[in-house]
Amino acid sequence: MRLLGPAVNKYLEEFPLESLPALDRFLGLVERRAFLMARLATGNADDAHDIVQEAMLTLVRSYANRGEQEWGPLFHTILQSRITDWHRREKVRNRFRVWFGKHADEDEDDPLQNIADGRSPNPLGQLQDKQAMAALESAIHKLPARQQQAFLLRVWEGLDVAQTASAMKCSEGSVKTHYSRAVHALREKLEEHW
Amino acid sequence: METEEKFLNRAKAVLDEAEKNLDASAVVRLRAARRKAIEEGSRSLAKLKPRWLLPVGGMAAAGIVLTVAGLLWFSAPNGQLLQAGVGDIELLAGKETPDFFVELEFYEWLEHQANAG
Repeated sequence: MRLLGPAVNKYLEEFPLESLPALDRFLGLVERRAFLMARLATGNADDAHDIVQEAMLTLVRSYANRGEQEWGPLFHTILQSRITDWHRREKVRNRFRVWFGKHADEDEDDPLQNIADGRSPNPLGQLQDKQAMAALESAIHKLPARQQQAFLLRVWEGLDVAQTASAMKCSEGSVKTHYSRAVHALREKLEEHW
Repeated sequence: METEEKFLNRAKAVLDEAEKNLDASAVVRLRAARRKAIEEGSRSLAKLKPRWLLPVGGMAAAGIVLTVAGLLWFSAPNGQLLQAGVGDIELLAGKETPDFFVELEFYEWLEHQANAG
């Protein structure tokens, strides 16, 4: 590469083609979790797939040149932005549905239909896992969008308050409030069944 | 506090389990989405105009212009191009008629004869 001259080296540093296999590996690691987060937010597998697809494309198109350690926070930020966009669009759609005399929730998929297909060899364990996930999925889906995001990023992704605030594009104080309310609401709904 | 931690651990475990046991159709769709994103990314990278070509192209164009100008300049003997240009300007800007310049040699001979006489 040294033989190509500084201008060429600079170009390859800015747009490294070899980053694509690394990006592929990175996306392979995060795609399932991203999909589940989007599905928990939307309650709809198709919308969740669309959101994840858009987030992947944005990361590859705009941030392939960034360092690998930056991809995680960037992907979270993009994914959460897409989920927020989905909620905004859904709000508008719901307004139209109300005007045309349809109930807002009429067309939404039942979250219970999107339960993960358990592969545990133990049928009882499988059933328990399914039931636990169904209950959690349903409870999370009923939370306000910002509470869902704060809960999932803090508990599942293990992000700290500052990282969560960055991904959600809000203040750390807001994250603490959303997270605390989410945990309180979920405990109230789930603890007696778990 | 202890019960909250227990609850959160349980929630995380349930979510991890759901991730691990995601149904096959979703996994296939995710893989296809990833492949599409990576393919589109490589196309975008390939389409990007290498910025280092801009100065290289500019320098090449300037070089061609200079070469052509140099060839024209040095192919004319003794810088005739410039001299001819200045002469043309004198002709165009002067008050004399074109006939004066046509018979200039005659006037020069006439002046020479007068001086000799």
